[in-house]
Amino acid sequence: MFGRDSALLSNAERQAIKRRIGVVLQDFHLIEHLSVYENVALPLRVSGRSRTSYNDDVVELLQWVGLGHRMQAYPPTLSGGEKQRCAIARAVIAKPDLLIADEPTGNVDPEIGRRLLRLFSEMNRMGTTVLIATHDTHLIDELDARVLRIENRRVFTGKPA
Amino acid sequence: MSPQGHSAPHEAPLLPNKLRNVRALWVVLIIMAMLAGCALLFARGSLRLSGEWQSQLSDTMTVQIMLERSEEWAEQTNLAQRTLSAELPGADIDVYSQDRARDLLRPWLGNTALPSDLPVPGLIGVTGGNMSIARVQTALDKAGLKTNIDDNSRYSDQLRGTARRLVGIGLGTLLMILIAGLSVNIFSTRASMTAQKEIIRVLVQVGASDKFIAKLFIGQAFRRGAMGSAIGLALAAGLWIGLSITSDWGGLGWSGLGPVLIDIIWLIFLGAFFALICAAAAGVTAARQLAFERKRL
Repeated sequence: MFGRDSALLSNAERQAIKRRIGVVLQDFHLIEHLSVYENVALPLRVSGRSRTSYNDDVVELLQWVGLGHRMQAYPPTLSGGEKQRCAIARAVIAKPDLLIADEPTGNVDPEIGRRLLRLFSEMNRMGTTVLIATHDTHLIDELDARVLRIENRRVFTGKPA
Repeated sequence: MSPQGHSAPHEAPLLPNKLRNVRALWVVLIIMAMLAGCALLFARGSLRLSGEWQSQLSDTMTVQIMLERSEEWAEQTNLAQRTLSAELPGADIDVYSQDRARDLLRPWLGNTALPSDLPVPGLIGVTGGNMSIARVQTALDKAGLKTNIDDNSRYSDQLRGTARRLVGIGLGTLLMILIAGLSVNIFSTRASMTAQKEIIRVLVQVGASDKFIAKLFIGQAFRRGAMGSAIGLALAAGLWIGLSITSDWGGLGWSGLGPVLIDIIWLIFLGAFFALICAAAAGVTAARQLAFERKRL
């Protein structure tokens, strides 16, 4: 991982590496008593940054993913798509070196889905490795990226025929 | 899309702190702090009472004049009184009557009727006067009197021992309560970590270190311990005031502003110590639990 043998890493090194990875899970893993803003700001807060230093970044990203008007809402009041966008925003806010996303556009409408894909592509151009797991073949078609398929317990390269 | 000037919402605590979820723990902490406060006040009161007794006893002595015959009583006690007055000019000298001396002797002689010609020792109580036992004894010997001087040292030693035991009981109880507080916090931190494992999982996922997560539990336990001890110790102080007003406890209770202020300072120290114990228990437990989970996974 990042040129290091993960089996030989100390706890501190492992945690430092984790901070370089953004993860979007299918079940979102949002903290329910924190607002959308707080959830998205979490990686920055955990890394020790002050609120004033990250406030603008968080607000800008939330507006970019279409959650600008829901910043103070709490996860239980969000729709599935809003939760997903919140989870994606949290995964990318710290500009990770590696982004792992499990079905990142599964619950969002096509317009937001395309916007998120643009965000991933942009991040990829900026140097982030983006790994997306999806069943959405349209999503794969829209991306100009390396594709690995798993079919019948075998791994193939390239888009499906 | 300019975010400039957009005010961020209030920064919420990362661990939920809903009162209804921890009401039982609050009650336990408040009661423990109150009991700890009472134990401390009892120990402090015992110490104060012992000091009062010591100072009272160290200022008094009883002179026993050994008589050959009862008829010598008046002459010998008068001589002893004059000698003591000369030797201890500022002292309060109280000559006990023969009847009173007889009454004082009765417990040592049992229920049998005392013979009427029994020469009861003359007794003189002396209070104050910057007394030196050796000097008084020499003066009485020079006056030709056969006397024993009881400076209450044996009684004083017994009182000191009793007071020491009372203080020991108070401090022992306090220690037990603090150990119980430590155990309660270890248990509650474990329970809290189990209840909040999803939050911990998210924090780990976004790169939080064990130290960062443990600090959250330390802060939570410290706040809880500080608030619990503030309420519990205030209740203990209130109880002590109530008991001091309604009962005559002497030095054990609060009889003046001085003891109240000193005891309140001690209570504040105890409150801070209680909160630190809560925080330390939470910190060690959280760190160990996180390390254990990391190894397990």
